Amino acid sequence: MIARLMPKREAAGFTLIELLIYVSLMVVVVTLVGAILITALTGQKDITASSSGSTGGQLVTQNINNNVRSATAIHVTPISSTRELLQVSTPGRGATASPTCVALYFTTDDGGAVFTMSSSTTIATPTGSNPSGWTKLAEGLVKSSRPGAPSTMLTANATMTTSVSYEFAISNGSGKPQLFASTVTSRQNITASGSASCA
Amino acid sequence: MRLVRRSKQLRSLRLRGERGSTMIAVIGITVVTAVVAVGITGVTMGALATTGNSRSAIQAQAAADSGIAAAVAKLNTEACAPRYSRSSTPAYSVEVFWSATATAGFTSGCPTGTDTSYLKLVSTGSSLTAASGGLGAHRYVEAIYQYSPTVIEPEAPVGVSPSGAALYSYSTSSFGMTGLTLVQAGSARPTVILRSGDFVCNSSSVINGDVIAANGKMRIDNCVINGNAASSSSFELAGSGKINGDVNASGVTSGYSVLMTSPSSSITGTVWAAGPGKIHIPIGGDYVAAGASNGKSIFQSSSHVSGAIRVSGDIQAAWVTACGGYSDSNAIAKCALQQSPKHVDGTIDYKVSGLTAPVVPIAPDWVDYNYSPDDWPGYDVITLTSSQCDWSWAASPGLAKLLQAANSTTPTIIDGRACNSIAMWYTANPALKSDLVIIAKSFNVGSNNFTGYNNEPRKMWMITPDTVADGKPTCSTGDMQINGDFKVSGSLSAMAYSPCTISLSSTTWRGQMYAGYVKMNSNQTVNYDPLGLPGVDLDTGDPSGSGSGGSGAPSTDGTGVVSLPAISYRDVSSAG
Repeated sequence: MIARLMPKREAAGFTLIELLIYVSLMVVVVTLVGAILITALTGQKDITASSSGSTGGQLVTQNINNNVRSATAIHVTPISSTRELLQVSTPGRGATASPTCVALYFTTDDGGAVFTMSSSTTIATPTGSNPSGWTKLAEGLVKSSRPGAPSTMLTANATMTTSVSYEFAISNGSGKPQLFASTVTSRQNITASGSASCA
Repeated sequence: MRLVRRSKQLRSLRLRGERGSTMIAVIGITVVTAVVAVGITGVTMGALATTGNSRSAIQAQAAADSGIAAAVAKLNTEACAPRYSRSSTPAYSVEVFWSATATAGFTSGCPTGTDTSYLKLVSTGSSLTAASGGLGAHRYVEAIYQYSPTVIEPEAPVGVSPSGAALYSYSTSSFGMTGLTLVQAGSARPTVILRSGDFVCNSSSVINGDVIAANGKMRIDNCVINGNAASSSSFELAGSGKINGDVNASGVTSGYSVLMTSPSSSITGTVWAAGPGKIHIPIGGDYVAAGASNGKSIFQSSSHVSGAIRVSGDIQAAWVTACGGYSDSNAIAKCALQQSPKHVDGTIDYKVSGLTAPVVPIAPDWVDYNYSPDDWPGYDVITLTSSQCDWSWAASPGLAKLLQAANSTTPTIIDGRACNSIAMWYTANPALKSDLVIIAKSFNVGSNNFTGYNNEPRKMWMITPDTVADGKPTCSTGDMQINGDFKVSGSLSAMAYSPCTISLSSTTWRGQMYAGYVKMNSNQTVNYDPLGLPGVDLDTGDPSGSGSGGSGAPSTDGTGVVSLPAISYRDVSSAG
């Protein structure tokens, strides 16, 4: 009596139809989950890269600002179409002014980077995409693709430079490069004699 | 029935187990998503922190810069303060240092002197919001400027500081003192100065003070000088002239530096001459004849030197040809001068080397004084019209103006430059209740006695302006004629200034006179009490001297001017 009452189908497992439906649903679910995961991971990578680029770019701009603001002499040297050099003479930040030469080297070669160096003497023009003795501030330097952007990343306003305009981008990841552009003017009374140092 | 219910329970359990596979997928997705979310959140927070630091640093930097700008603005408009601060955005605190040099030696606070100095402003800027970790909350900017404190010259006292001689005459071919009695009425010793020309006193004048001929000879004939006499050239004493003081003669005329041949004249002090002299009078002090000249000083029989004789040349005793068996003329003269009756009480030295001639007396240059109301702060001004120039009858409108000024208790200026001349012959005898200044192109006054009201000390100036600032009197108008018993007396002192001639006759004057030429005709008495002129120093001839200014060093009120641009402007790592 009890055996007769037990359903035979339950004891026999899933039917083929059930399995097909189950597998189909699983494929759909896995596909959706995979897509979500890939998108999330890609987004994380992009965000990380973008953040890194932003941080690097800000580091570069801060470096330019801090040095040019107090500069007693400013020189911009376009080394080549992919390499530019900014040299400034600053009195330092100590209690007593101590003239110091600071240089920033912009190169878009080999993925692009910005380097810096300071010295009490004139800094020689660097060569290559990874110059020895220089400190890397940021990677992924590319030229600005903004329509109307200057052909050079650094622009000096005159022979006796009192300010520097810069426009460059940092590209880290697949996203759109982050653009950094501004003009920094020294607050020092730059004279012709002062412009001769650190050049 | 129980079996049927049991069967339904088993089927229900089996179906729930089948749905568990979906749960695993959901859990997996959740875990992965959580990992990704945590990663993105971390990156995002890091980026936000960096951006926040940048923002905070920029805010602090801008605040520090604004502090410098604000401090400079304050320094240019207000008294220097050792610290400027602002607590609201942009928040800054600027500390002021100063030094005499631009590079070192800065001390906290504001400059105290009046010399140009340098200010170092160290501004601490604070960000509006502190970034994470507090980074960028403060930035420091140092700026060095040249600073010129406002220099305040000593305040000129109310009125005018006294300066100048009793009688100053700039130039004349022959300055004659005739019938002059000069006495000291105040605390200053009277001096008569002839800036250029020969000085002659050829009448019975009595000078209770010093006389100076700064660029000419001096001849004192029947005059009494109760003071010193100095001449840039030779000196001659004649008649019964007396010098109760020293005589300096810095030049030589016709072979003699001093010529004193009248036995009735005398000198009580020392005679110091640039060359030889001829002496026939008593000299109370030494006789020194210096200079490179080898001339011979001749002593005559009435000579007597109470002191010593020292000459760079030779000596001669005119009344002897031999003495003591000496053959040398200097020895013979020395012998004769020292034998009884002695003509010299002290030692006698001749051919003395190294004697120096007396210095040429210095007289101050002419001071051009042009009238400006600004020189007379606190004075009311009455401006005369051309119909108010004659004060010679009782109802004259000009006299009414004078009496109005005389009765005013406020110092008053009567500006009579519209008149060719101010004439005053009506005897009004004004008693001044306050100080009075009369400006006119020329004067012709007499028959009046100006005094101070109620015997209170008052001052009066009669001025003919010298409108050409060329350091010499420029007479383009007319003389100042003070005669006909014109008096300034009592408690009133007066200053007469004219680039032309001041002509005196029967005048009694308390005060001083300063003119291109002071001409004395007869019977004038000057009681010297210096008044001076505003803005000039008649003692030194400095037209911008301290004659009207106060004494003491210049000071500053704490304000000044910051010179732009900055000598140095830089970011620093700390406010220290």
